[in-house]
Amino acid sequence: MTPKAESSPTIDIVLFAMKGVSYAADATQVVRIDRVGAEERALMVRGPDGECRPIRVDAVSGLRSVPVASLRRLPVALETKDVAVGVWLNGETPVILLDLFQLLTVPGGQ
Amino acid sequence: MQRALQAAPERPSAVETVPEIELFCFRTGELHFGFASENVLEVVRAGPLTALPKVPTFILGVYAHRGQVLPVIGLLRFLSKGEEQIGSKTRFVIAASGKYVAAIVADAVIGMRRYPRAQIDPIPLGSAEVEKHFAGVVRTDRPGEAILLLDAGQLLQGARGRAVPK
Repeated sequence: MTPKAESSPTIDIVLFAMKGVSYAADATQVVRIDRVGAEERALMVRGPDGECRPIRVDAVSGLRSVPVASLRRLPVALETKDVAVGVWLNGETPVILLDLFQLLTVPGGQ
Repeated sequence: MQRALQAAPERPSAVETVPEIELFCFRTGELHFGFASENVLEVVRAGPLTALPKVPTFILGVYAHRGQVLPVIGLLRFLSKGEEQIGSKTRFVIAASGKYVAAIVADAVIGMRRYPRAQIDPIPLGSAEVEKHFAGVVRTDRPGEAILLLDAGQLLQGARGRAVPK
């Protein structure tokens, strides 16, 4: 009897586009996705005060469960406690991971 | 012969030794640059870039190289000497110094060259902010050609300093 291969841990991310650029974020930061106007969507994120606040995005591409092994920290030269917290490697293409809680605090981020 | 060997030095005299530096040279725009060869890991064809929010324009984005995510630095923008265009002939020079690794945009690769250290002059006077990223300028035998010798450590730390304000 062969041992069952351990499945690699995964994490759920939400994929979206803002100003024509594709980003991803930890799906647990998103309470729900709302429609804003005719075409725009908003990621509803709970702020520090417990209120749900919208982060407007061009489009939401969906949810994906990705291997933790496909996540990377930002390069040392760019490490910063800013909205960009890391990278998801979609094959050979890096997709920037945003911290939506941090994005709420950025002027114009909402 | 025994007598000759006893009089023979163990190592060549200073006059016979010509200290040289091996440079990896490349061109970006109209400027020729060189890194000490030990700072260059490899050269690759430019791949897909992902833009980063809220970074200076000289950080063209990030690039995945063998599973490692690297910042892509445009030297022309960094030095305020123009703007790089990424095309089919563009190459990334993967440069490293200590814990810092980055992809530097190159329009063309010149290759490895060796120069006597005596051919390295101080960088012509400019702003101290720019000067500190260079270890000198190499006079070559080719008319009108000068290779700006980059200090990889200063360049990569300087790029980080400007990309990640304190």
